[in-house]
Amino acid sequence: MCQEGRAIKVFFILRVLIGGLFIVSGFEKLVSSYQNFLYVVQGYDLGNPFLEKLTAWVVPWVEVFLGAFLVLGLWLPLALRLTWVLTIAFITVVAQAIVRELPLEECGCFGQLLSIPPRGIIIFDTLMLITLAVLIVYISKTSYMSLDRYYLHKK
Amino acid sequence: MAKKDKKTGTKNINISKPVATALVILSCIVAVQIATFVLSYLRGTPAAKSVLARTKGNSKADFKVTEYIDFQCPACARGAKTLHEITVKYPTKIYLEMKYFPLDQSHQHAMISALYAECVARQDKFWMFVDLLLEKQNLWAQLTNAEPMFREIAQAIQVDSDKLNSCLMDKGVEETIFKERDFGKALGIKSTPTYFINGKMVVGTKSLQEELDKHFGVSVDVPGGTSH
Repeated sequence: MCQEGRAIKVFFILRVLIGGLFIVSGFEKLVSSYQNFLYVVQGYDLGNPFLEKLTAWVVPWVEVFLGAFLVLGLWLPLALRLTWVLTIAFITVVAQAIVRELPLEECGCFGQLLSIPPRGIIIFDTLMLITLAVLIVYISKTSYMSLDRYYLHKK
Repeated sequence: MAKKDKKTGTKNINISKPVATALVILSCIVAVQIATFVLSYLRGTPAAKSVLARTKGNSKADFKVTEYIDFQCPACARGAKTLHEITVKYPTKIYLEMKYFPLDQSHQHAMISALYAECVARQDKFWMFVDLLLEKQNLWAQLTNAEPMFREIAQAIQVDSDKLNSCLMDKGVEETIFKERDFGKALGIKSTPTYFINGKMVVGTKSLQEELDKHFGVSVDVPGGTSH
């Protein structure tokens, strides 16, 4: 029983940590000039200027909202899956930059807060992807201390 | 909506899940807006105005560009080359000023190249020096010690060596460059090249290209156009 309780807390902590990471990442991009993150996105040479601008506008907000939902445990199954898809998108974009040997010194993922080279972020994101998959599979443990559970009990 | 709890006598506020979702989204938006406002207020107007700006073109032109540059940044070199071509092609239609933003943590020669540029500027040969400096960037950027090459460039444009040497020893020059960089940071600059085109912040050569296309009505090709 104790070990089960500890395991549940680990799931909860991981959920909150990942959510917090996304909030911080999105927040940092939003409070600095949009042009700064647009420049980062342009560095990945997505090929379509409209897509680059759309990405620069949308991604930080998506990060903040998903992060908030993860931390609060709201719409968890959906939020976890969307975060998983977003992480795959990040890995794909960074990987194509590495394969194409684009001149990127750092990934720009966390703005000025943290400087991580592209290869490093692939490893980091892959670990996060695996963690998210585990959180999705064990959703009942992940939803410990979540608003989803509160609303479920209310019914 | 508020129901009184029969046991405790306190009121429980019932917020449905969709409403809670909307509140969370709204809270995030409000938090970001407040943080943006607070940060821009704290940044404010820097105490010391940038003391030196290197300028060329027509000061009454409609198209005013302030470029924050790191001389070892490859994208900066591409952007500067394009702007130079625009000033030659449309001399009365553009006003260009250049300010220092050395990224010395990423570029070994960022600071020393800025020092040389500033010292040459004090002999009124800034643009001649910078044009050659950026033209030969791929040569000196690879060197462990780029100073001999900077001296060679300075000599080629007939800069007074004694004045150059005493200027390079002057700590005040370094302070000037740091102040200019701090000014840039206060404006929200995080990377180079960053341009302020009629006050609008534009980062990188791709966005510069779009602004040049819009204003000059012709497709201006900025070579490369990717980040440094």
